[in-house]
Amino acid sequence: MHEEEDPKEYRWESGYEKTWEAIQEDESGRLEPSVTEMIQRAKRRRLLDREASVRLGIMRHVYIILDVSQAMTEQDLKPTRQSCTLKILEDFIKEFHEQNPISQLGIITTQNKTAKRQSELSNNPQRHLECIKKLQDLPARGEPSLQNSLEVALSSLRHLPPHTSREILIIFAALTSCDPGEIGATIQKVKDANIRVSVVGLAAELHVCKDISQETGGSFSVCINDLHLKELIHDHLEPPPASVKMDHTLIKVGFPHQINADAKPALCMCHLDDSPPLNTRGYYCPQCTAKYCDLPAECRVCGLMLVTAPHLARSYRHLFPLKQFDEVLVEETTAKNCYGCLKHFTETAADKKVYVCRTCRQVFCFNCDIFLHETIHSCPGCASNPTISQYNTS
Amino acid sequence: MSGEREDILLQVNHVRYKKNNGQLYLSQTRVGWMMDESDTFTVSVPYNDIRTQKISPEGKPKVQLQIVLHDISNFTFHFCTPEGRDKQIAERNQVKERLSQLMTQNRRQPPDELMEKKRMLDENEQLHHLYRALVPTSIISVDEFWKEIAGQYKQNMGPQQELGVSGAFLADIKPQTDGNNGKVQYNLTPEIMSAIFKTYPAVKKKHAEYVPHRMTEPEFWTLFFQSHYYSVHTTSSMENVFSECSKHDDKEWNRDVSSTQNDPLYALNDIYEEKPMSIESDLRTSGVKAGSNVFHALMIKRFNQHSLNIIKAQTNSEKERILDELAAKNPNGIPNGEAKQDIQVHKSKKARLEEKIVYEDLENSNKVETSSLTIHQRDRYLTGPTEYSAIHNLQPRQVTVLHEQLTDNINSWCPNLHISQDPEAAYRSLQHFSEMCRKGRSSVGVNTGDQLPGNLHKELGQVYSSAGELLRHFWSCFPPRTPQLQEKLHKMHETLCRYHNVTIRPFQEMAVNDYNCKSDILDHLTEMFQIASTKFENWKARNSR
Repeated sequence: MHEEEDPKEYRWESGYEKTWEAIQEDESGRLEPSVTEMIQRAKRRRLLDREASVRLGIMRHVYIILDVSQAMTEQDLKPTRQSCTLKILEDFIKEFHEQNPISQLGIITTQNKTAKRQSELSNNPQRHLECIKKLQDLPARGEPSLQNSLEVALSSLRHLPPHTSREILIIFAALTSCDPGEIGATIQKVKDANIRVSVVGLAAELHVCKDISQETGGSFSVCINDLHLKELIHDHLEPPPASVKMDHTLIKVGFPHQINADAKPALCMCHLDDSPPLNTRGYYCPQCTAKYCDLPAECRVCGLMLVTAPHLARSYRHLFPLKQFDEVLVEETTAKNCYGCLKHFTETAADKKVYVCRTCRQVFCFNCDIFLHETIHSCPGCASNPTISQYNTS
Repeated sequence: MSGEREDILLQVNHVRYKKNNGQLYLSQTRVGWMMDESDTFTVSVPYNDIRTQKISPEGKPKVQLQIVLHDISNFTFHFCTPEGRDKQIAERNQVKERLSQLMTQNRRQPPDELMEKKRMLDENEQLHHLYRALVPTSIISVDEFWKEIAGQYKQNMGPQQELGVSGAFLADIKPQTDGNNGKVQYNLTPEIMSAIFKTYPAVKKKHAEYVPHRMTEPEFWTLFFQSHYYSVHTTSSMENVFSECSKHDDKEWNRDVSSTQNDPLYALNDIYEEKPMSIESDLRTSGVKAGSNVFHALMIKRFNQHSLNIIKAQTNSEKERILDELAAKNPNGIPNGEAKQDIQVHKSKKARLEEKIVYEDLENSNKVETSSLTIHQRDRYLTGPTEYSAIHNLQPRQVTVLHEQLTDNINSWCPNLHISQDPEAAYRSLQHFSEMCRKGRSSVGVNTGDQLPGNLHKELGQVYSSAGELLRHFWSCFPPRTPQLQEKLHKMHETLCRYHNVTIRPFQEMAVNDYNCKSDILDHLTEMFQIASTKFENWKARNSR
């Protein structure tokens, strides 16, 4: 849109961002931000590419390597790259723990040619959120070091059992990396340890980042603006396809009861440093009776994974994913309203294409389609139709 | 020397000590001097005792080397080969270099381990508590502690990180000029100094030679900044400390340039005005097409040298690391000189030509191999485990009869009010139940958390964390597949019993006597110990069968 008028004008020359051009009003006067819609359509296309019936690595151990070097003080993402990225990461961490209850997350930062592990691998989102808060005040300085940060992540990912999915997500803003030795050797080590490294760049495409992600089977993308950055980072909420080298084993899991009639008062093992109260409120591990306040947790004493049934059930949506709806023109259907939100189909551009579920043949509008595929993971038409829901034809 | 056969690494004849002729020997762990016609060593000093070594200044007639120990005593050796003074100086320098190498090697091992342990104890409070709880009370011996328990923590420490050399470190020094005197001030930090040493090994050697005998640190660095490394115009025309370095650097530069020159795939021939590289007399402008200005050519050459040295510093550190690993595995065999490590694979000409023609980006992206998922027995995911019960098949006639019976029952049902409760009693029981719900589960147990005094609470927390650690090690031994794990399991069981007796029982008694608490504070902990020993007994019973 901006390009036809002033082909030679770059953003830094003009100093004005013509944001008003990106927003268009439709007939009823509502503002439909067309940039968001473009991103949503791109997302829909990406969802289509995902094949069904692929084995996914659901028990994930992810390290986020965050670049806190001089380049993060740039202001092309408002207010600075650092604060914008940290805000997006906050949302990502909350969503990650909701959608992947049996996975663990850790945070590493790199600046001044070294890397530091800020937060260990754990499935407690509180700890990570506190860590992110502290990072807001960390001054961004120096040059990042890809090799050192990969080595730090490798040193703890290496010792995990082979049936888990090991991942590293690098958020990189600098254009250089100052390393003490051969980064090729480190990349080879990472590849041998079956770790999948993905990179999200904030500045430009770098050959070393592209190399790392290609060698290990990850993805590499560079963001255009802050909305796009949010999309790229949230892309990693979905479990990646499992590599063929991953083991399939049976995992021992404990399901503690919430109410224990004859429980003895105890200190919880998760807050031992802060003098927790001595009471019976909490979950007792079925194997060693250590107490924990919150689930899901990994028992520190006997190493048993403790979850509740709803946590495991959350990953069902990967086993039985919602199939893609067919995209048809609104004229070809007989329905006048969307089945999900009862919105009347008008003649506007947004309503030209509607989506039809293959099994129950109900018609949905564009927003409902995205909502159903992203959040609900089931079709209300199929669920409310007694014949279909009873026999569950796949 | 001691009875072991130590390999002699260097031997120098005609070395005098205290006016006696003899030979100087350098071995793996010590330096020794033996008099001529003698069998035993008069002087034998292990490297760990040596604090530093000194050499006599250039002008003196005697060529000497002095070794100073930590306890201030020293040994002076006089090199007096009859082959001439130069040979004496050469021998002495050789000994000095070898000695400093061996000193640093020997110094590396012992302090590191202690430092590591200290570092681990400092960084992990929990480990510290555990150490204090277990070792002084002799529940577990020191070695066992470090072997079994601290091993976990070592994994979490993370690797030792080295720093790379930044591309612009010399430019970042940013000298400040003092307007009044015309003096220029440079801020040197230890980081910058180590970066300079890594990039320019010649400067490192000069530093070792000159400081602190011949000149002080500030003098050395002032000369450095005035030299060709930092400024285009070298101020003094006389023999400077660094003019040797500049000759050395130029030689290396020519070597590196000619090695890339020979590659036919790099079309470098057209960047020269005249014929391609040969050893020209005027070394300054070799290999650079920079117009007429000699100073520009010089500066560009200096920049290129600087960048090349930084890259070499990285690969050198990698080589050193490999050498270190080799030395660590095999302490008695130090490779003499550099090991030729071929890190890069030599690509064939065909492969390189193909690289030039094909762009990987433009080809179709290969899909990553994925394994497919097949779900059998879909029903079992959607419903819980059900008992398998025999299904009775009903006739359609029976269904309609049952249906009629059901409708009749429903139509004719009327509530039987005689068996219902009196409203007052019902209301009271409802109230009672809702109060119980409001109090929650904690009403079942004792709410001792509010009543525990602060100290006791903290101590209780510490006991919990140490006990938790021990129990963690115990549980990690299951299932004990290897004999080591079984051994560890036995040991841990014993440790747990001892811990129970030594620490927990007294704690409980103390809590009851001193603080007047109810005696069930440590019930939960004892339960955990109970479960652990039951598991152990079960395993033993099963295994001994």
